[in-house]
Amino acid sequence: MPAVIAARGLVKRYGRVEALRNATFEVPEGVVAGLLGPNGSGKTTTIKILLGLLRRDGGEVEVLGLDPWAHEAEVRRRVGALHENPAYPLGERVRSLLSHLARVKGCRGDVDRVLRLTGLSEYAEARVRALSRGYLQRLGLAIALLCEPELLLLDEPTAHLDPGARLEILRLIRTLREELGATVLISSHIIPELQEVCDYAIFIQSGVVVDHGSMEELARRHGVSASYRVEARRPRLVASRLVAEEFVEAVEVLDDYVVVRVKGGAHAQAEALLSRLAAEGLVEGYELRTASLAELYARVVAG
Amino acid sequence: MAGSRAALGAFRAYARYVLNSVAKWNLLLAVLTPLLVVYAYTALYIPSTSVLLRFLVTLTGMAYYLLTIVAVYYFALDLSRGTCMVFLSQPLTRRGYVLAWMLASAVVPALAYVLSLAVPFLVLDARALLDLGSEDYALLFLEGLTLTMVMFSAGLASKRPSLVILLALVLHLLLFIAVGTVYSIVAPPGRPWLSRYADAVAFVSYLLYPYRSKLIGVQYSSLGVYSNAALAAALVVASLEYARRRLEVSG
Repeated sequence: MPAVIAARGLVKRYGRVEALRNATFEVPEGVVAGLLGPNGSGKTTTIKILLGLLRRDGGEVEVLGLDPWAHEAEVRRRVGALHENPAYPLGERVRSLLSHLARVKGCRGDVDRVLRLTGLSEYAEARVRALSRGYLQRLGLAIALLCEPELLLLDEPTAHLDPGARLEILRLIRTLREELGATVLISSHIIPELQEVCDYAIFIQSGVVVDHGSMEELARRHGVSASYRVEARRPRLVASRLVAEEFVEAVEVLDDYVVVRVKGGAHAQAEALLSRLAAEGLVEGYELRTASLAELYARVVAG
Repeated sequence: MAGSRAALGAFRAYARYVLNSVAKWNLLLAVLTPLLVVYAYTALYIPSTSVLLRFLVTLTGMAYYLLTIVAVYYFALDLSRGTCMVFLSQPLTRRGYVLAWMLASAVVPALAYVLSLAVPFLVLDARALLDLGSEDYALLFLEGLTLTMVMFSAGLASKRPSLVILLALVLHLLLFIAVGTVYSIVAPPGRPWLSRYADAVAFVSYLLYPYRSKLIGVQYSSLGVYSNAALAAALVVASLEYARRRLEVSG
């Protein structure tokens, strides 16, 4: 898959402080990528450089094949962004602000669609200052979604939200991915939330990208526990064979497939067994679906 | 081609938004100035129309300057609060963003001022407008443009609205009083040894205040006036280049 974002040796300094140090990573097309790291690790700086809002001090970066600082307008025409703590013009009405922004982006007729998509239609005539934190976040998403961008950059989309609002935002991100097919980069330090939506991860710590890759690659590389989706003709029988193995942590039977969670470092054993079952005609196919992001984070960043 | 057309469209849409957001202040000027003109013209006894016009231009000119200060203050506030990030995350170039605010701070108040002064005179006494001479109007706008651009550049580089207010106070009031006072000390006739200082002070005075210097009787310095125009042009170019090369936006 071609890379939608490619950063090589990215450096950003604020005075003497190096916010990004030789950061190198890629985000392939069509994935939901998590940019994970503790507070102050350089996530927001990375997103602002990708949007052309901050100038890099070294290295190279391409977003959709373009340098975001030199081709700022073209990049931002194709990218939607949600900032962590945006300062909206508080006196504006929601619809009016979205209309202004849609005009700037060149899609005047898109306001009603994003209002509907983000559940803001009821509040279209409300002033921005009257919106709660959760609805401000929805407004940010609505702005990001104007003109159906090819790439979404979401900086801490669930920060400061109550659990209900968090779930709604995550549901919305999943819907967006399915409906728009856009590539999404989500910066966050809340791991369980990212686990639900991401299939690619970039780990950043103290301005250094310590590792990046698909969940599958990362799970294999770091030997963390992982889940396989196993297509089976007789799921219950396959489940009974799997559950007997020492390296299997859990097995769940769902309709015509089985989800099996295996211990870290046991990928090879698990795949050998699944191949045997396939040879016996019990398994039609399998794929590694999700790795434990918390475990990965602990290995890559903390450990 | 399509990209530059889209960038132009984004600039036009944003300029419209910025002009809307400072429109209420321009509207205030547009209402206040004609009221003052009508009042002065009909109710005050002033010996000649040229004196009346100079009085009005000076009085309402202060409102025009105030309008430019308000607009530059809002610009610096937009940068310091990070509201600019919302629009700069759209296909608007940094230069387009700065140019839109430059129009709102320097050009639109001047146009609002001209119209609000000219329209009532056109109704009451069109010939009176010609009594002041085009040079006076030109100097007034040159002064407004240069002082606005000094504040604008400082606001752009520092992103501090408080600095804009401080600079407005210093430039429009304190420094003007200081220059006028120094000139009055070094300029009186009969002190030829001070004349070279008088020339230097006159140059500084016309460099910053081409209209007001003439009002308070500072000896005309064409070099000062030309330097004023050059300073304004240099600040416009420098601000746009700074935006293109160095303007970074953070929340």
